[in-house]
Amino acid sequence: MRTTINIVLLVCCIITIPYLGLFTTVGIYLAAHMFFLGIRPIALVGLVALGSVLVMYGFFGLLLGVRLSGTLLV
Amino acid sequence: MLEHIIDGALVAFEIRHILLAFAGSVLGTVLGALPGVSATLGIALLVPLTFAMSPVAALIFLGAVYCGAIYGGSISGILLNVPGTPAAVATMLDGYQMAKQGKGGTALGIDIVSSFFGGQLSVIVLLFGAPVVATFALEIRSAEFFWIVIFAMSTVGAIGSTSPLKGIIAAILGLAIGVIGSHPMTGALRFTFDQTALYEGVPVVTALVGLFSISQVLVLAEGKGMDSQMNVPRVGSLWPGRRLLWQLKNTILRSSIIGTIIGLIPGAGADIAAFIGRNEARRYSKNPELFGKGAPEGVAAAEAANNAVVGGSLIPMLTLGIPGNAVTAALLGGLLIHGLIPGPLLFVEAPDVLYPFIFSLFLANLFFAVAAFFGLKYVAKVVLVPQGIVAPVVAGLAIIGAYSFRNMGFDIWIMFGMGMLGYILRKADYPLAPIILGIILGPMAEENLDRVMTLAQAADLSLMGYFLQRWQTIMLMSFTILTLVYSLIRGSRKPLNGTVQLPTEED
Repeated sequence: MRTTINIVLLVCCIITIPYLGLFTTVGIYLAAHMFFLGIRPIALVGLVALGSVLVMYGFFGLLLGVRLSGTLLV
Repeated sequence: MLEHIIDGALVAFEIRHILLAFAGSVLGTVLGALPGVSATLGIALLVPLTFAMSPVAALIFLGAVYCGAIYGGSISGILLNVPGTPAAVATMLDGYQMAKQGKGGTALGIDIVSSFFGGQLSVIVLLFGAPVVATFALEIRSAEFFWIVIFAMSTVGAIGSTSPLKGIIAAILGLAIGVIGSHPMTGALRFTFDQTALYEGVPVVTALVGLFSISQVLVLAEGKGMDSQMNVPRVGSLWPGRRLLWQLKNTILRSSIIGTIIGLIPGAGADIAAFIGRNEARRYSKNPELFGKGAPEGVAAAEAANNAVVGGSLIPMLTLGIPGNAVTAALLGGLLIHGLIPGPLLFVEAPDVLYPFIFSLFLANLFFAVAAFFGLKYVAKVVLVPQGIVAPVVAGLAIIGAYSFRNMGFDIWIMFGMGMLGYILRKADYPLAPIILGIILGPMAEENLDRVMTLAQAADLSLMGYFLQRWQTIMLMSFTILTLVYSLIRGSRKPLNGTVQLPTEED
């Protein structure tokens, strides 16, 4: 069951990427998956998700110019 | 050659390359120290970061990550009895016992010194040995290349996994994935299902990221993660003392040589080298009964051997294009995305990239040693990061990394598919390294076989008749058959009671 939910979270993330944008979706996915895996408090989940996605955006989005066009957010 | 060596040293010592080697070395140490993040996974995740770098810078960075990660795996093994990488399991057997006896600092100090010397010796062998091997490799013809690939695949399947049969099945699966895309000679499309993204085949980096990261994320996310109640014991002084180091000199030297030689053998990675190095140290030890109870020789032998694999394993990868294990396969992925095709011609065509890379490995070994001596207490805290955080962050990096390779959404699905395949195979106890080697080496084998078939046709010979024309080809064919027979015999034997089950590189 646990593994199935982990896989479903990943699939949901990949399906949502073309609509919400690469980095936004990954940020939401990080928070959701960490929460599901029992990381608490919520502030820590939010901070780690935001911090990680900002670092990834810095490297991939700004440095390498990786982005999806036609999405709602980045 | 001397001219290339001097030029290489000058480029490696440019300030930006020194900084990259330092960053890669420290990052590799941190990643290696994280339980569940192996050197292979670390490199697979960081390869996409190098897209914007020059080939020299990218290789320097990835090589430093490799050195750092192999060393870093031992930190959590010694402090918490949880190996960061499979290569650290042998170190942990005595290192953790020393930590329990209050000698954690000494164990970590021996670990640093042995890793440093093991790594440096293997890089010296790489620097002087690889060009010699490359010169011989220039004489190799298509028929021999084909059999070298088949031989490498058979040894990786047979030696590098707990079940030879499963290893060989995994290798064949990798070869099958490798044929997806257009035929190298005729351009005919195979298993592309009208997806233009598959016309060029399954991208190596995407497959690598999926196979190693997504499968590992699912494995990590299965459990409750690391016990957050764990405490890092007090480390104390890291300097083991000149007297102890002098006593360990022969052990370190012997294990460094063993590790370098094992690195040359396809399929035998750092984990196997560490166990063999430790066993040999016990055989030569005056106090073999202390092994497993906190013997400093055990730590020194295992660490010198597993770090010495780095240089050794790069020789067949750089000179023949044959990665011997999963980590070098990941590194080869890094070379390919920068347009560098590993093989005998690489030393002729790109000495300006290779020699700085080799020199930077000396720096990387120095940097992780210096950084560990001064910053180990901070790195030690990293090992306590809960796996509930590590797993999603690895998945997030994998998704973005897979997309960034070609800016194609379909690549994320390829990565996910490879991840699911990797997870299922892990559960069924199949090794993953032969699959990625099959994906990389499959097209190489196919291209050479096609060439041989054309040449055989032109010479009015059968394929076998053409293979039997040169003694080199016959020798390689014999080695391959012997390896397969050995693996069949090994596979049919039941393991003896108490036999240590070796972990595999992708664990």
